[in-house]
Amino acid sequence: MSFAIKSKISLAFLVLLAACGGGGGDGGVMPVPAATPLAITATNYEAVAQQAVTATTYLMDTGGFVTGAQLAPREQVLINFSRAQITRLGRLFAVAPRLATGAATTETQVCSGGGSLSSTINDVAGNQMVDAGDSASVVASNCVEFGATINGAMSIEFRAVSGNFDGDVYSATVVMTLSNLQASTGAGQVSGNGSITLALVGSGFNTGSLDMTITSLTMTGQVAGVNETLTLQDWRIVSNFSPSGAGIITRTTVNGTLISAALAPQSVTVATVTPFVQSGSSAYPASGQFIASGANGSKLRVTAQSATTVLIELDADGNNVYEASRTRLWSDLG
Amino acid sequence: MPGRAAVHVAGRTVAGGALALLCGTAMPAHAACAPPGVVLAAGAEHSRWRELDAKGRPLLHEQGTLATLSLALDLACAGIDWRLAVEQAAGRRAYDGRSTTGTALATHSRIARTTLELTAWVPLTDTWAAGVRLGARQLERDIAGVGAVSGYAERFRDGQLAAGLRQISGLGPGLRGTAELWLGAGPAGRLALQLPQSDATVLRLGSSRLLQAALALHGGGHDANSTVWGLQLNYRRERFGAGPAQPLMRQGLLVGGAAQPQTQQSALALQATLGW
Repeated sequence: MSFAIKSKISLAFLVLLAACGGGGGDGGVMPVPAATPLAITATNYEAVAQQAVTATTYLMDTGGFVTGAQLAPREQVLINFSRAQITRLGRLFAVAPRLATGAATTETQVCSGGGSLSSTINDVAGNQMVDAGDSASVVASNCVEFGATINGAMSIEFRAVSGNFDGDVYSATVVMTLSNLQASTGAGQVSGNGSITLALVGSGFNTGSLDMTITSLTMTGQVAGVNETLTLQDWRIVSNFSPSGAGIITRTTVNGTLISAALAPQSVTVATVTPFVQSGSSAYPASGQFIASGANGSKLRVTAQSATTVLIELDADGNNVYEASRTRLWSDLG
Repeated sequence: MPGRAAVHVAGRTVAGGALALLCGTAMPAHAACAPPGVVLAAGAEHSRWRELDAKGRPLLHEQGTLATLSLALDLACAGIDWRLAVEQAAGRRAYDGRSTTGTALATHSRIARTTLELTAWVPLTDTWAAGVRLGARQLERDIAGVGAVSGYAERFRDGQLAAGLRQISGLGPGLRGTAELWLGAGPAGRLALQLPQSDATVLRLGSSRLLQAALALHGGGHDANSTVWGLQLNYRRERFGAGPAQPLMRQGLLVGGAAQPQTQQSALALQATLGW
């Protein structure tokens, strides 16, 4: 699990918003699938840990790994694509023709690897700047970006934008809604439905926070006839970053419910006990702990031992005694 | 260690079986054989590797220089010239591709390739010969990580059967030139993968096609005890079809999918040879 939010996510996010302007909308809400809590047992607790950690990396700027063989796109491709649209749409606001207030403009652009993106911009104030209340939508048609072919739609709503994004003090709240947004390669595909609300605050040099809230987001992967669906409900990741020496240190909490088709499908609820602390030079957090809770009081405790290893412990009967444990590499899990 | 590497090369049972079959059918039991010869070759090759998606769009490309070393055993029996050769190539190629999150990146891959080939030449005329070659190959490709992007290793194994034509021309006293042209094909090979975050898996590759042309200049060999020197220039181009997608699992959970896309390889090699 990489909680490498800090400069990578935030600065990239800021740079694109900096091209926009000043700051409001509502995210779509997916129907919430009913799922009963999963009994966490000795046979499934490692898989649960893996799912919980993976669910966190969906939303993070993890490095991934190089491609030699062609790989099915990961969920991050959809997230990265969506975030990139914020940058691109911000530029479109600046060049959109001045129209009567409330009028929308549509423009089609060719993607870097072929295909197209059709973007509709609603500049509420008609001032060619991104303000609160502005929105945009994108329809991808065989658009080749990020090493995958993207189809489907997404929309962006700017709920609040203020401050100077070229400086250190700013804030922004943006809602990204994925509507059957799909990425595919020759090895498989992934599709996403749901909304992500991103709230970003910069309060000083290398100091600020990124708050990601998901009411419901479902990611479905399909590879060679095998499907996997993971739904995040009331999922929230809050990452605070601050200067540390020459770099940045990040403290991250994760809370929410995940439902995985591979886990029956049933749900587990994740709650951070101690924030995960990660230095700028590490790929994984060196400290921190969360507990994933299932049916009948069963629990799984995940504790960062170092930036390399993580301890996974099981309390299957809910008596607060962790009767089984394993030490694993972070890289094995997320 | 060409000899040792040959033990591990893919398809050795195929090559060994073919040798037995070819020897059994083509060599009379009491065939008169000339004393065997040994040829040692060393050189370098410029290697290119491209991967393309289903629509022919480039996914990644690599190029670099590999050092090559080969050892061949020649045997002429009953009018057929046999050669059993093992070659090792190793080096580094610059990699220009993407990470799993879609980010373009440049890094490098370390290549180690072992090839075992059995060739039979049948003279057609004084200067022309027709040949058949059975080859088995193992290619290890270790793609280096860069920054927070992890690398990983791959191991390809495949085999090919090729048919060739050779012309030998006398260029002067003790000097002769050789030109060879090969066309070949191979069945689907295998790619063993150990990707980060998933269990080890083996992917099927697509079938392969080969085009190869070689020019060589040889001198010496005035008598049975003298050495033969040579220089050879070899161009080889191969295409591999895309393999089927396969799920990547970890602890029973689907964590991704992988397929080897359509792949094109080419190599231009220059080698110096010395034979006894």
